Amino acid sequence: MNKLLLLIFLPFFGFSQNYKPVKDTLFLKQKIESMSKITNSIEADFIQEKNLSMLSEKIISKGHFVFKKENMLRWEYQTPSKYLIVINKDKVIIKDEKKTNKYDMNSNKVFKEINDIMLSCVQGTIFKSNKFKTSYYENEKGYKLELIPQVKNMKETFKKINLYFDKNVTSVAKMEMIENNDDLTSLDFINKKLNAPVAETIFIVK
Amino acid sequence: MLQLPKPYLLLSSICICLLIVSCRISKFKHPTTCNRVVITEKAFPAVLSENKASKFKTSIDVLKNHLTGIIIVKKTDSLTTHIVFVTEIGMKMFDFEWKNNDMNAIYVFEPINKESLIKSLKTGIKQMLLLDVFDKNAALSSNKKITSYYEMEGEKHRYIIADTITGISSQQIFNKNKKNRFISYTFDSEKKAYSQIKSTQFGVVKIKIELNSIEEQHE
Repeated sequence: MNKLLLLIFLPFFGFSQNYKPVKDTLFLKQKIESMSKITNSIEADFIQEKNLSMLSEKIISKGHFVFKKENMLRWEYQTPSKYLIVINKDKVIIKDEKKTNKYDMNSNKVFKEINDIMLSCVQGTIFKSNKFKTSYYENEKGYKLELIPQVKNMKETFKKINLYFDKNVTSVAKMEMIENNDDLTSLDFINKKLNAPVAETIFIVK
Repeated sequence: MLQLPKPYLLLSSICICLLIVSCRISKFKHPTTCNRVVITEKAFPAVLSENKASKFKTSIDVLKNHLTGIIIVKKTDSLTTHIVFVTEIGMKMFDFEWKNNDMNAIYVFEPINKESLIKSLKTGIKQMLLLDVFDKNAALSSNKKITSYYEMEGEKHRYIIADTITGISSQQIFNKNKKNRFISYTFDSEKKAYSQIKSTQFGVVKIKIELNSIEEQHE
């Protein structure tokens, strides 16, 4: 079950035109770290596209997410299904159209790990994790971080995870998760608001 | 007060149980009409579209686990149909392949890869989607209780209650006279399609599967 929980959440951490390796990776890392430090909240709509390579079919989901420092995330799918994930410090709440489940992060190592990965992806600081080998690329429009899983569980499912930033490195613009069979899940973030006031009540689910 | 001896109580309990069990299946017995037929799509509408992918909002409850997501069913060639279950956040749970009247698991997400569970899921989904029904022989019957039902030939006690206008209302599958699976269908007569299919599997591995048809998004 723990393995299941870990992998179920991983799609969160997941543009490809003429990217070439970044020469000054230290500069880019500093930019991302600085972005993370000055970002206290992120609010955005997202479009998730799941491409099933063998069926040539797409599943498009849309929703809204809000992140607030420290450790608060509300990730809400609106179409085609209503599905909500809320992380509020040490609590995780998952609500679908029928059920609400609450989990305590401290009693579950996997949720703690999920929390770390989700929040570091949203903030872009996942490159610091030793669970991935990171390569850095750029083109005229922005940067791409290519994360190759180094942990057995993740390696079994994922080939790589890509994170995209705009040239000014203001926030994560897009994520891609490529599975070993080349199925791809992408997340595009639009209508972003950085550092806008966010009420903590939205991270409470009854 | 009169105290009944224990063996008597035990015997009467067994008799009551047998009566209940036989009542379950007996509603399909004693047909007043019975014809041997080949089931075609003229008999009742198919669940799946021949030419395009079918998508269903899906929930699967097994033991204490509650999984939700989307099932996509698509024909990849004239003989092969794939049934893929993906969670809301894009994680593929399984990919089953229906080919030559056989359901095979092409991919199963490791944490749910338990033999008995996968076997039950494969059978349940196959029956819900009517993959193994068309072009098969059946006895088309009616009796005092049910206007029209099909008893699948070659299968022990599998009954499909259906008619040409309202489609299938339910499937009931028994195993050794005990109800093994009950599948209910909601047919939208305007759209001429099934809007909801619900399956309950009884027995050791209890599984509930609910499929709700997703309308194509035109953007």
